[in-house]
Amino acid sequence: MSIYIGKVVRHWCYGSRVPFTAKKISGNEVRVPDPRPGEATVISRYGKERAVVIHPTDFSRLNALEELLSVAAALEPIALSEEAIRAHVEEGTPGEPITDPALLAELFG
Amino acid sequence: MQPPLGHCHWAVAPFAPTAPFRMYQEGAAPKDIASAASFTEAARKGMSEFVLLTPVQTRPVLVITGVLPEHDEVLTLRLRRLEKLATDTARQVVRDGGDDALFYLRPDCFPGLPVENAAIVTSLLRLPTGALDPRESLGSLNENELRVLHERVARAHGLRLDVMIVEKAQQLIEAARRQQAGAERPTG
Repeated sequence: MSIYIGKVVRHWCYGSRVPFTAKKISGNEVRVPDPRPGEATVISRYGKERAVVIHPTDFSRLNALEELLSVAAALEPIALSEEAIRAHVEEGTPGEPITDPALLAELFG
Repeated sequence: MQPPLGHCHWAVAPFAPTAPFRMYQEGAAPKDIASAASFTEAARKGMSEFVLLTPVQTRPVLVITGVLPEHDEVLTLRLRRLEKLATDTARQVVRDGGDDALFYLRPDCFPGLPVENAAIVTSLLRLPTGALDPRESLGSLNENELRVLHERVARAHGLRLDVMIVEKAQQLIEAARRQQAGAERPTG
């Protein structure tokens, strides 16, 4: 048996905060029950849930749903008007600074 | 001092240093450094701190975050006077909220600003509170305006908040599930 693997999209250290990372293991290395679509097999040990086996089509569906939710939640970029671009550049560019010592002394003592 | 979040204050706002960099030298005229690459080379030799002559402008800024207590800093936006916009049409678009990147500051809420202004959404500036003049608030945004402005800043900078939104959705689903399970549990 081989396990269907989707694209790698989740990093373990971020837990459930980002989409799945799929880890590829040959069916020869592990013994897993044959999953059926729509069915999740919960594998427990010492009374604790250790893993859940689902059918590849369900995994794809789950991934697709998460991606869909991610896209739906992504922020639309805003269009910058000519005026906004000009404002950003001009207000972020220095003009003629005051460096005259006499004037500076008058201003700041 | 009033809490600065959403308020406009006078501030000593630096312009970001860029090439050519004007470097201060003790007892000598400033030295021009043509590019950032020279700084990298110096850093590789173990010397990475210098004094640059950075122009600053005393100007009103809009504070868009609370003070980070650990660092005493806030994020602010530079302002643009509406009179500097090219046309009356452009000014009206900003007043009507039609320009996503120029956020209109209503004069009745900003009595300390002598003319009409808009906050430049793309002009994020991190300032220590010591660079703000705390004596007088020039006006402030209301809660709703601040929310809209935050959203626009996030959108303008392409901040990826989808994970946060998805996670929040998952938490709400989980909470609803728990609530439902609690309601279905037999009592007595």
